[in-house]
Amino acid sequence: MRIAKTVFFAAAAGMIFIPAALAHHSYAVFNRKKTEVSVAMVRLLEWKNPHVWLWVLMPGTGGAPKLWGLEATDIGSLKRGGWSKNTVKTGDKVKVAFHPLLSGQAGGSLVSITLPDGTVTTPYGPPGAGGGPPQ
Amino acid sequence: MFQSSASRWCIAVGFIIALGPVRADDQIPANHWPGEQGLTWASIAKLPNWRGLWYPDPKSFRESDQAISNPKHTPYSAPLTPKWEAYRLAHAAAPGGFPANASKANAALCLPDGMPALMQAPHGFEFFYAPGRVAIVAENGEVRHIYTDAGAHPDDPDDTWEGDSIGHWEGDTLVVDTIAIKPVAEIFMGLPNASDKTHVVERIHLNAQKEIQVDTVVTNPDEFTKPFAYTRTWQSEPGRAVEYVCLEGNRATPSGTIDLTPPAGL
Repeated sequence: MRIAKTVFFAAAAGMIFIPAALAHHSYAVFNRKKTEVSVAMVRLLEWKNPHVWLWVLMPGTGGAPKLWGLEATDIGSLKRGGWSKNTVKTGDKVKVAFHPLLSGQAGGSLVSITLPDGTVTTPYGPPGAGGGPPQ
Repeated sequence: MFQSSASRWCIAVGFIIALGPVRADDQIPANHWPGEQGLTWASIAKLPNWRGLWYPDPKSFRESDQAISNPKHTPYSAPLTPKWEAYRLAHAAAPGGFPANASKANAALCLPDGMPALMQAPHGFEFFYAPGRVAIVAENGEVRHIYTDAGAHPDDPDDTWEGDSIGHWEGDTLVVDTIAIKPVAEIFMGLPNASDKTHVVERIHLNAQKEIQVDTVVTNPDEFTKPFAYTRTWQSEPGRAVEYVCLEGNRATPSGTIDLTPPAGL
């Protein structure tokens, strides 16, 4: 595992180079100027290309859990960033930072995740590592 | 290996005689460049060892990104004709610094990048040699077949996503000449080939930093005001190739939205 323990705000502070123009699809659907942070419980790490999706329950209106889908990068970028299909498992309590969908739907672009052991990583590897782009 | 001038002359005469409306593969003149050309297994053993996986380095990603999405002219910009520069700018200005037409880009539709975009795509690449052949295999499943035993392209080849590629070795450098690229294939993400007149010449070698360096010159009078020359570098990547099947889980839709249907059971 190349995932490093580091401070959480590093990812949100824009230290990661993300050349969106090389991504798999347009990121215009996400509000890239807004980063939301929430505690979450993992339901499923959908380990598929072209993009892996992290499905989590987050507190909704009135505290009722609500299912959210957070888009990560492709499997290759994640693996090169130190992820595996076992990086999170169902039931893990994590903290996620993400750019929400502009549509208001319960989805977003994953910016970083704090794993149960406190490790912080991003879809491109440790914050500041300058990994490859999303697809 | 060097040919005598007499044999070269005979080959040239044979070539001229053989020319016709359709040229069979066995009538294509052979590669007669000097030095090791990889036409036999013994010759392949003397070619540069590029074994393993290669992945575009951060510098290459940055320069590709600049070429695609920077609204300003940069040293990495393509010398596009006014028509195609207007097209690029219209899309480069989209929110997120992403081409506005990206939902129609080949990658979002799970179509091949094609040439020359493939060579700057964020995938791992491997080289494979066989007598008279070099294959470049990308993790997204696209394969370039480079014919190193041919001295010319076929007459009137069909247009394809990767084009028709012939290659030869100049010492430790593989020189690849590619034509007959489908216009739907992309120059880079969101920018198609303007016509089937695109001509790509690549010089590929292992540089002093032990990276695969691809010096590329792209020409097409319908798209560029002068040759678009750029260099991309690929760093050695440990591990095995990662399978990439785009259609398996593509949630990007042609209208640009995201399909948020949860997986079964959630």
